[in-house]
Amino acid sequence: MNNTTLTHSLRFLFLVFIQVLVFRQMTVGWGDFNYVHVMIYPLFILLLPIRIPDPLLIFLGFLLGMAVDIFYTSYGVHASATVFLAFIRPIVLKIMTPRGGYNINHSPNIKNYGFVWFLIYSSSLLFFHFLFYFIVSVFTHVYWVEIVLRTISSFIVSYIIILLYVRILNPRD
Amino acid sequence: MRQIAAIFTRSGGILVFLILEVICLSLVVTFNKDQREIYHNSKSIMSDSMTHGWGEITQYWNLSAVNDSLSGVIAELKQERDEAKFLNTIKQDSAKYSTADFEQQYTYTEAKVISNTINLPNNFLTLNRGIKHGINTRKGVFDARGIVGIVISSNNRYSRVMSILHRDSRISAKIARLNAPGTLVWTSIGNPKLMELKYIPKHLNPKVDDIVQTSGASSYFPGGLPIGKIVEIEEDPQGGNFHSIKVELFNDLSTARHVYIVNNLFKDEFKEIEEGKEDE
Repeated sequence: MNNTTLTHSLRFLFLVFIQVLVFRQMTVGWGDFNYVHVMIYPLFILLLPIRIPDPLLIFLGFLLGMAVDIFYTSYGVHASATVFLAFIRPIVLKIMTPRGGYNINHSPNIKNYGFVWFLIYSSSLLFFHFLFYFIVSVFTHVYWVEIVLRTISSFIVSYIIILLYVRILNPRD
Repeated sequence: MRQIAAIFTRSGGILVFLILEVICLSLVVTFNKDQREIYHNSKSIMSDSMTHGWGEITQYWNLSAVNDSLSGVIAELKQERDEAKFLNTIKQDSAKYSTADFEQQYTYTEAKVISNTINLPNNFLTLNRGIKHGINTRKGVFDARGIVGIVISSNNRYSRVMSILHRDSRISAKIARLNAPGTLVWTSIGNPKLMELKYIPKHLNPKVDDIVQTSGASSYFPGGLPIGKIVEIEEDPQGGNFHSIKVELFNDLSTARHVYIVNNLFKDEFKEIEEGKEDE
């Protein structure tokens, strides 16, 4: 187990930990207004190294989602969204290839590719993650307005928190 | 083996994604109450609508069989009507006649048109009914909207029908509003919709759109079967005493398929009196 693996494993545990201990309570605490679900655990998928093989990436997405699901007792809902997120990450990365190409040992973070790049990268991926999550969560097209509202409100709140997290802890490779 | 590995590294992502996503969604509908209910409802709605849609498709397959059986039913219903019956009782008052006063005069045999022409000067049809089905003499043939012709010959299973689109065809018809009888002939060869009603005297005043029906004066058709409507009235060019009336047929003989053959049960009696055998 080298240094990178250890870093990412610890980040996995830490993100799941604060997700279920802090942010899960937040959604419950807000009572009737449950349009906002703060989710920061997708950050783990966003920050995985670029060289990681697609199947492993998707499998890690499944593990992450299931870990969160166990605490939410919503087996499969988060997992399906993180699997989807892990599936589209290589596609987004390909679209957003910078001029010099990627250094495959890097992680896609602010330090390596700049703030604006990270902003677009993370926001586009997260948006799809939230959309997919709420589609599976609501599970019917009848409430599509609800899906859109929840996606947008949750996305905005969560994204602010994720940016704060990235700014404060400034994760490296 | 290496090729399989290469395929896996190239498209393994999609494969793993699909497998895990199926696992996730099956977990979702297994362990989450809301999603499970929605899933089962949607599934039953889907399967209902699929069964329904399938039924809609397959019902066209036996539509022709349904048509055949329906035309048999129509033949039976037509012969239940008063027009198909003969009024026996003579009543002094105007009390309504009861069903017991009527005797069955006409029965109908449903038949299918096997072959048909409309473009010749003398047209014929072939029907799938013959002596086996009780069709052996000259009988009238009509369809749901108008008349078709007269049976002229039959063998065991088939009958030949002289179409009303035949130069020798003479159909006894009347203008329903005036109760004025005339003879319907086909003079406009090449136009299967148009016929001519002859021998309507000039002192009568037919109008365009008047309905032309069978008169009941022949033994082939019961009275009152619709034939067509008047589209044009001309003076006889020879200055005769009759109108020359063009009649547009209600039915389209080119597409006639289900037809009914008229069996007149009193035909012999009628012929006998008409042909004057009574003074022998």
